[in-house]
Amino acid sequence: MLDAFLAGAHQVFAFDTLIYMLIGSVAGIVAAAIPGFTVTMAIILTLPLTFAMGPLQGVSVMLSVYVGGYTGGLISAALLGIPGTPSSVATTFDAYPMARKGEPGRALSLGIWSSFFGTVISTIVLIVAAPPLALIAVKLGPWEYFALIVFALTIVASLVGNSLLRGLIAGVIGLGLATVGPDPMMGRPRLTFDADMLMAGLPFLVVLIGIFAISQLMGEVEDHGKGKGTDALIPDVIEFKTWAVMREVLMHPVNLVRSSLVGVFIGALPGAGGSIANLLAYDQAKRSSKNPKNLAKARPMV
Amino acid sequence: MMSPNGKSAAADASASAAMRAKTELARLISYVVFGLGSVYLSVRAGQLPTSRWEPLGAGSFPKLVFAVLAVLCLIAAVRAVVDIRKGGKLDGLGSAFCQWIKVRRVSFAIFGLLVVYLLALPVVGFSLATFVFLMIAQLLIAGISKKTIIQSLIAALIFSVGLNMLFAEVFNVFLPRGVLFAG
Repeated sequence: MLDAFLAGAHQVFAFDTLIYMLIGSVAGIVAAAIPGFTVTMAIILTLPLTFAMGPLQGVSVMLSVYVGGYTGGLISAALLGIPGTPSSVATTFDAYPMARKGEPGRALSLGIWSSFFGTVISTIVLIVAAPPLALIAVKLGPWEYFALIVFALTIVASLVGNSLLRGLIAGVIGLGLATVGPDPMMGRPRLTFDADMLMAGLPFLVVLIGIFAISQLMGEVEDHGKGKGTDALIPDVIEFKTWAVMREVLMHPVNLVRSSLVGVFIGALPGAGGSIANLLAYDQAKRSSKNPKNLAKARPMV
Repeated sequence: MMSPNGKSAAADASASAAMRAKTELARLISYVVFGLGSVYLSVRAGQLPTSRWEPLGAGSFPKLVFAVLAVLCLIAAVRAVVDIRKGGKLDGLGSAFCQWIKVRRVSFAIFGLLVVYLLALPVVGFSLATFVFLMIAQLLIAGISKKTIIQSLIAALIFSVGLNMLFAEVFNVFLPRGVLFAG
């Protein structure tokens, strides 16, 4: 297995492939930083551009767009409070307040370093454990999926603020929105009111933009109406303390490894992905934190 | 006899209680709206037919979900009523409501504009509808001056005509074309 890995690495580390990967990563970061522009859309748009490349470069570019995209989603999440991708929802909880309190560079650096180390850890785990992990993943059936979703729903209790009741109402509204569209068993339309645009249900990303982006924009407009609109959201000069933040991230290895493993395990399951994994990892970090009340107070919880 | 500091503290507590009562009233209205909506949707879901192969039917899960939502809204509404009664008087409700509307007038205008934009999109096409929407929305937020008009014009052109050209020419993806205007 190591021979095959080294042979693959030798091909990937060719100069022209690395240049293609750099362009792909930048394109992915830029695309995902735009709220509503998902990593999947970026890959679909990249696909025709790879037809002229060799198979190795084509696959490398697509993977670079994918990995870059998942990192880029945190830019708008941290700076605007609007998740660029569904997997950066949890980033808005702490990184955005941190950016608004005058530390946008730290918020971005924490996110980028965490994303980098998470990618490295998950890549190592996947290289070593992909075959056994895949064997476990394909053996999971409806019972296990049901348990996973119930487990994911219990996160509501951890994410609600002062009122459990309002948190439950918000969670059930989310479940209600998910029931619009075709019935997964028989395909019969439910609560579509014969509207064509509801026939396929409510796409997750559209709901995400409606909840985060529109409410955030309306909040800004409202502040403007109150005469608070003159302050810039983010200072003109963003100060990045790159190495200090890297040390800060590495000071919390347990959180880093645990969150990466949550991502690897959830990502290995068909159907589940970053949108569930980021909230589960955030929930686990909060539960094990010594300072869980640092939530949304511009300080990392760990 | 109460000292001036004592009077001030009592006035602050009273104002805070009145503010809490108004907040709870606003929440009560939202619980009632969501509760009634969920009852309606639960009934609608219950009317979905079942089949021989699936006795539960397509509507059983949404019916259950919206019924749970209705119950939660009812509990929340009862608690809000109790809190309002504890909070005391709801003085100046009319003026507070007017102030609330006044502060959010731009938000309401933008929501209205969004509805018009969505209705106009299939008729006039992406470029024209987006250009007009962005121009009006930006001028609503930033105010009308020579500088804001130029800025809004440039941004509206980039994100309407420019975006349409980018998607059409580079990605071969065509944004909605209108009946009256193909652009």
